[in-house]
Parts: sequence; structure tokens; C-alpha cells
Amino acid sequence: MWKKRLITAVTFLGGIYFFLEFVIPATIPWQTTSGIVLSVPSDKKVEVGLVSKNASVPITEKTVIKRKTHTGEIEIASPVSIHPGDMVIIKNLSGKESIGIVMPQSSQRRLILGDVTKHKMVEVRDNSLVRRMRSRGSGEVVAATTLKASRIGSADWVQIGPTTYLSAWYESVNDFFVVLGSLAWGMGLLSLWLVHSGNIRKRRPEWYLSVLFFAAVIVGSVAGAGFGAPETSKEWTKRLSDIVLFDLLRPLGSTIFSLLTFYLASAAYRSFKAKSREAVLMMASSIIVILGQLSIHPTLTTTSTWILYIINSASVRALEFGLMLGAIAIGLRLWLSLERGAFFDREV
Amino acid sequence: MLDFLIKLQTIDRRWIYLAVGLACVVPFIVPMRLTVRPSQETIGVYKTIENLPRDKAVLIDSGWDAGSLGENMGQAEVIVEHLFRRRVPFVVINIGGSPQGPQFMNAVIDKIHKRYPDRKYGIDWVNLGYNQVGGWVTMTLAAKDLHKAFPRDYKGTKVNELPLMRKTRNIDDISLICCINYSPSEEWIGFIHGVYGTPIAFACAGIQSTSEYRYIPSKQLVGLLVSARGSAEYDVLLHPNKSEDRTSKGTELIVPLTYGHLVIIFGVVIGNIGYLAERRRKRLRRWE
Repeated sequence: MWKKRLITAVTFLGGIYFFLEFVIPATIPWQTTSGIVLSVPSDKKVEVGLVSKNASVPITEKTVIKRKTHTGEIEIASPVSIHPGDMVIIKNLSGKESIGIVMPQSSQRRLILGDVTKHKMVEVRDNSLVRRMRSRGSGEVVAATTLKASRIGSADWVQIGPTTYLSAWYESVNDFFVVLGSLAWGMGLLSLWLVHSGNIRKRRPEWYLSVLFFAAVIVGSVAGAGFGAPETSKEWTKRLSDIVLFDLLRPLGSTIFSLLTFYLASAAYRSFKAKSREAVLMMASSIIVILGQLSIHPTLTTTSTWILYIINSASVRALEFGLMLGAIAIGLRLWLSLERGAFFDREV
Repeated sequence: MLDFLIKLQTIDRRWIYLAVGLACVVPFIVPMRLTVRPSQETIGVYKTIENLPRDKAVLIDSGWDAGSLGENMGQAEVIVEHLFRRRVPFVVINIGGSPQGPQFMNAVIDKIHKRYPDRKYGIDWVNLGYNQVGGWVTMTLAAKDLHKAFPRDYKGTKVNELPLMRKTRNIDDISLICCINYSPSEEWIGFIHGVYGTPIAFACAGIQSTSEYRYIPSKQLVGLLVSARGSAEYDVLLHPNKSEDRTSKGTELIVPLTYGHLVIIFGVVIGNIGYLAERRRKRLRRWE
């Protein structure tokens, strides 16, 4: 009984950590200073310029964005390379120029620009977190000395405040996943060993396939020694690795997947019937999309592209929305150990 | 006549297999060429790579293997050729894909390298091999510190000893992420593009492409290479004038792919003719 309770407790603690880490900000909001880095006098002090919004500029493919680097030079920048803290000069189609510092609320289609209105010297204490803001309000924890500072051009946008400690454990928890993943590999191999050695010992039907399995594992492991050798190498392990990979696995893998083509053709012939209006609609759109992919006629290609970009995108988004709601429901059940697994009613 | 039409929906499946087989095999025996017009999504990838700076690397997440070779190999060939041609360095990784991914990618790079023999391993490209943990865990770690996520390349050389890796440490040193896989991981979009804004391009199998198209209008993907068609279209963009230079797997497979599709459409059409004929027969009998 205690084992089940332990599993339940560990599952709950793991889930609650990730939930809180997602919901709670990395720093205490009312004690956090956010702005651009004007200077870094020492590793314990950062001068932050507080920025107030002065403009909101829509971005199109034709918008020309110039960025002033931290040394004051002007360069042309693409919308995707713009980060919070960049000082930009944007000329819109009517020729009007907007100058300002990009704020974290900006997106790829609209830049929110601001000006520095106040300066503040922020102390970086032992329990402080320094986060450099990337696009769309997401940040990464960095050391104060790695911040890019500037009074005349682009600089890093930073958030400094007392940590809520949750994000400090993030990498340790990630490391735990790495170890768990490696354990899972080992468990898989162990499980295969137990199953196939049992088949051979007890001479179950087709036990010779288990012998082939072990032979394949040994050959594959030995062949792996040849992986990474130069192309011109004459080593027998390199030759064995090439035989296993390119002369065995590649044709076998391709053959298995190629069988799908025949099943697909047969299934499409048998089951794609116009039994209802919806079926007719589905069939017509799938035929248009298939023919549109084949470069037969530009009209077909245009219609096919419209179906894929507009109708298909909308329906897949709706589908994913439903899937995610289902995933959240299942996730909640797993987190709270409400899901009855295969061994739940027995002592593990 | 109605009897004949009804019989069209009961053709033995072996005839269908034969038709598909012939449609796919005959183009290999009788050389044929089709006009290929590049699509918007392929042009998006091409233009992005064409405008990449040379001082940053491209990260290629290549997790395909023999099963999706027909679809992904051509895509890998055209992307690697474009990067070699423009002399944009690239780093190949495999996060959670097939463990054989690095070997298949090496074979592609070796093939394209013969056309650009002055490109050097360690300077123009690096293959960091496979990371079995996979998922957003490795992606976020690689974004913050690529050397920590992949301390050695696939040959076992420490990454600090490779000139390209000395200046490629994290996401700031990456100009584009290309995922070439049967089904590229959408976690790249959420955990990397959403946080850092790094452009991402996918190269996927045809059947997976319908769930990736939605990322293009929202500009979360710069473009998409779909199946062998995508690589054939890219080949046209790489070699607009000389069709004999188009040697990618995609160009090789576009004709059998086309005829295979046409056979499937023909099968669906005649199956429906038979079905509608049978419905008509039932209606006529009811009136009688």
C-alpha cells in the first residue's frame, strides 16, 4: 500500500511543481523592475531605464525597419530579428518615421515602441533573478555581467526582482527527466531480454525468432562500433555498419512503409463512397487537393492552396483545441492518480 | 450496362495493387519529366535560406530514417545543397527522432559534399548526433547552451575542438531551425520560436503536412517542404534553367508519385461510379 501512496505522492509533487512554475511568475511582480539596461557598473548593480509606451506600429512585409546597435550604428533589421530592448527606426508607407525602444508586448505584426522616462539603479541581491526578455514576454535567466548595455542604442530588456525559487529548480528537474529517459531505455532492453529469453527457455511457439532477435542485437551492437569512421576507412566494423544500415535496415524500412501505398489505394477504392453530402464534400476537396499538388493546372493549385491554408488550418486548429482539452483532462486524472492503471489493484 | 457499372465497385484488390505498382515502376524504366511549379510554402523556405547571414549557423533537426526516406531524403538533399552553395554553416542534431537519423543525414551530406569538395567538416558543418531524451527538455537546453546538450559530435570529438561550434553556443548564434522528419516536433514552435523568435522551417511527410499548414498563415513557420513534391519544387528553385542538374530524390520520385496519385483518384472515381449505379438499380427495383 505504501508503494502506491509513494507513487501517488511523487506524481502529485511533480505535477504541482510544473503547474506552479507555469502559473507563478519567476520574480515577485510588485518588487520587480523591468526596463532596458543602461549600464552594469558591477555584478551587483544594474542601471535600468524605465520605458513608457509612445507608439504602436503595425508591421507588414514592406515595412523597413532600421535598428540602432548598442554602439550607435544603423543597420537594416528583419522583423524576426527584433528583440525587446532594440532601438528601432520604422518608416511606414506614408513616409512617417517612428523611433523608439521595442517593448516586450510587441509581436511580429505590431511593434510597441517606448522612450526611457526614468533611470533606476537596481541592486542584484543573492535572492534576485536577472531575466533577459526575448520575444513576446518570455525570458531567460542570465548573469548581470552578460547583459548588453547601451545609452545610445539597442540594449537588453531585463527584469530584475526577488526570485520565487520555482524557476531555479527548472534545470535540476530537467536533469531528472534526462536520467529517467535513460532508465526507460534500460528498462526497455531489460524487458525485451526477459520476454525473449523466456521464449527460448520454455520453447514457446516460434522461439527461433527470439534467437534471431538476440543475434540481431549482437550484430547491431558490433556494427555500431563502425559508426563514425571516415568514409575511406577499410575497417571491417565500418563495412559491417554500412551493410547493417544501408543494405539491411534501409531496404527493410522502405519496404514496410511502401506497403502502405497499396493498402491506401485499396482502402480508398473500397471506402471512399458518396454516401452522404458530407462524404461528397470530403471526396471533392481531397481530389482537388491531390490534383492541386501535382502541378496539373494553376487553378487547381490555387484552389488546393486555399483549401489547405484556410479551411484545413481552421479545422485542424479546432481539432487540436479539442485534443488539448482532452489531454488536459487526462493529464489531470494522471496527476491526481485518479486513473486506474493495470496494476492498481495489486501490490507492486 | 448497369450491371457492368455495378461490377466496377467489386474489382479484385490485386488489380488495384498491380495498377499502383505499374504506375510507380514504369516511370523508372521509361524516363519522364513533369513540369513542377514551386508552391508558396516551398518558396518561403527557399527565400529564407537565400537571405540568411553567413555569420550564423542553421540548426537542422534531422530525425528521419529508412521508413520516410522517399519523402525526407530529397528534402535533406536540397536544403544541404542550398546551404553549401551559399556557404552558410549548419549544425545537424537529432532530438528524439530515429536513432539512425545521423547516419542517413551523413549519407546525404557526403553525396552533396562531392559537388562542393572545398567545404570542410568542423568549419562548414558539424553533425552532433542523436539525443535520446528528446522533446522540449533538450530543445530548451540546446537553446540556452548547445554545448551542454551535445558535448560531443557523432564521432566523439569534443565540440570545443570544432571551429564552427566554438562560435555556435546558443540560440543567439542560430539564424534558422530546419526540422526534417516524418512528423517534425511542434515543440520547436512553442518552446523555441515562441520564446526566442527564431525562424523555423519544417520538412515533413505528405500525410503530416495537413497539420503543419496552419503554422504558415500565423507566420510561426517560414515555409514547409511537403514530401517528395516539396523537394522537387525546391530543386526547380535551385536549378531554374538546367533540368539535368536536378538530381534530388524528390525530382526522381515526383513522376511515380504523380501517377500513383492519379491511379488512386481513378480508383475512387470508378468505385463511386459502381456505387451510384448500384443505388440506381435499387431505386429502379423499388419503383417496379
